[in-house]
Amino acid sequence: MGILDCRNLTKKYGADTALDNVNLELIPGRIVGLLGPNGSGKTTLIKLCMNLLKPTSGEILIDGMKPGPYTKSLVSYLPDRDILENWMNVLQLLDFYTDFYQDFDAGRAVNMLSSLGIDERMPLRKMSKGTREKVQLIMTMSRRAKVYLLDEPIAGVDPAARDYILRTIISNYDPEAMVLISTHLIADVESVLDEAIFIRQGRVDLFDSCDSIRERTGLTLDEYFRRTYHFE
Amino acid sequence: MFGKVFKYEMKAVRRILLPLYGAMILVALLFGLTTSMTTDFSGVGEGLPVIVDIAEIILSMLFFTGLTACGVITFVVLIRRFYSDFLGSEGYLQLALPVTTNVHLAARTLTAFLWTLLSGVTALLSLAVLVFIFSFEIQDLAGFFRDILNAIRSLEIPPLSMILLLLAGLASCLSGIAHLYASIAIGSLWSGHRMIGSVLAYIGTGFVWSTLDGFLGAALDNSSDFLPFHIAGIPFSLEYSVLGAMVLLALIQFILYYIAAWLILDKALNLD
Amino acid sequence: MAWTYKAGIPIYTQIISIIKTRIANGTYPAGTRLPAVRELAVDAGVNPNTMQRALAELERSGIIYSIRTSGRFVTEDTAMLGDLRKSLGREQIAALFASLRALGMTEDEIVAAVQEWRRAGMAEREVQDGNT
Repeated sequence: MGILDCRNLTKKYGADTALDNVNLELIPGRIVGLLGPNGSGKTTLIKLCMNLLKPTSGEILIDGMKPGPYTKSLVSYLPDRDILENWMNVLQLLDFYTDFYQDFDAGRAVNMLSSLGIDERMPLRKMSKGTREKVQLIMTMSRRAKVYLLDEPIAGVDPAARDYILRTIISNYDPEAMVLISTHLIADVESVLDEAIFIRQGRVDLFDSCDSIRERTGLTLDEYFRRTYHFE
Repeated sequence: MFGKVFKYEMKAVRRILLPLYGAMILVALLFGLTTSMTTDFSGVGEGLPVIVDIAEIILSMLFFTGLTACGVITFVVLIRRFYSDFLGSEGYLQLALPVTTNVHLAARTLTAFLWTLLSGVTALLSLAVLVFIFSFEIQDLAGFFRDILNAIRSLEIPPLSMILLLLAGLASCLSGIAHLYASIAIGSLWSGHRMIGSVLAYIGTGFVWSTLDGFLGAALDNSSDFLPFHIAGIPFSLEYSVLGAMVLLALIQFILYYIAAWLILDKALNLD
Repeated sequence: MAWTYKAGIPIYTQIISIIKTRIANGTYPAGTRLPAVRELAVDAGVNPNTMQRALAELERSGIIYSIRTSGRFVTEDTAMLGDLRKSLGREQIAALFASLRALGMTEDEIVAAVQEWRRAGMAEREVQDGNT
């Protein structure tokens, strides 16, 4: 049993099947890519982890338990949108995270913020979108969680910020945690990944270590993705 | 955990509403001052500059629109907060917290309840400030208040009735809030038409309840009318049984709406 | 930022080559301490697991060794380092020959071209020395 298990996990919206019989076992110490075209079910899978959706059938388990308040204390989630309470400033946001998450490392967050020169007293709504995204990332990565779910962390972000985000993910690596990066920008992340899940139309096509895929196909993950999904 | 969620809810809401209520009372103060200055009690009003008259007019407009605005803005702020916390972008932050749905719902309900009460208190306070300032011109201040108290006493409302009345008002307030929340939750199930869904749910559930209310009222009490609307209606009867029934009904409403909201938010959440 | 990686070969293998090259060209001098795994991983733009795997391989080959609490060090064995340079050099020569053969040159032509290139280079330097 891994830290994140999906067993025959299915999610339907009426006649629409978002996830079809997904079976996965993800273990700690790995950085895993959830790779697939838009609409393939990546976000649905992540929302199911976070109990923002309920499965139609099958189950999803985090550390052996169904998603709920306890699993949320183990999972650090970075959605692909602006979610912060914009009336807060950074100091208040730090307090917020410290208040609710026992595993939040405020010291680490403060270091990262100051290395980016972010003013702690500035209200979030006065920051540029890019800066807010970095703040969101820093908060997420400053938790010493068991599972990190990063939904499109580098989409819509300039190359320098992209570098920063990937470096942050690498340097925060924890052998007891599992990082799941959901993205369709494969070329940028593939060197960071241990394993890759290729998902399309709600079905998992492939789940293997990146090196095996590269050796087997002789392609980079990006090339493999393009060839396999080029009509999507 | 409830304490923490509640704390942040209050923080988020009070940064808008507290200044608003403060401003309201200030307007009441100024309005009272300018009115008492321009009202000719002792013949002094003749010599005042025109600007005071203008100020009085502006302030009077501000006062009355302000009273309405306080109510409306309070409503909007609380509803928007609920909506964005559960169904909007902030939902991703809020619902990722290691906290049960009930805690989330209870914290918002309590926050809304307190602020609704506070908005009522602010309105009363504004009126009181107005009267108070105006009353500087009244020679016999003590007599003035004595007259008001006597007027209230002459109505001969028994104290228990007053208490029950108060409880009925509070319970109605709670059930009103829960009604709104439940409607928003129900409306969220109709994807793509959440707003309309909420309005329809609100009207629909309100209608169902008022029908029930009407039947219950007719069964309970034969002598006087029993207004079915749960929003702090004015009861025609001061009998304990009627008032007690009102409190009970409002509480039952509250519980049912709360459970409905909880069920939907916990089991059928549809975050954008 | 990150080192660049090619298709078809596992990344850790490519990392091994890059580190070997860096050792051979003195970027990581003999006997010195290598940066920590995490730092190397960030530098290389790869997963620390991958970097760890590469370093483990290098340790097995003896090019680097680890002292438990102090970290990993480049070997001081001059013979081994000399062999490393030679083998890396051979790889480069093989690559050069492969690409020049692809242009249609024979091995003799290649050797002649190399000698010609070297002569021209020396002559140019003489001219430069004469001018200064």
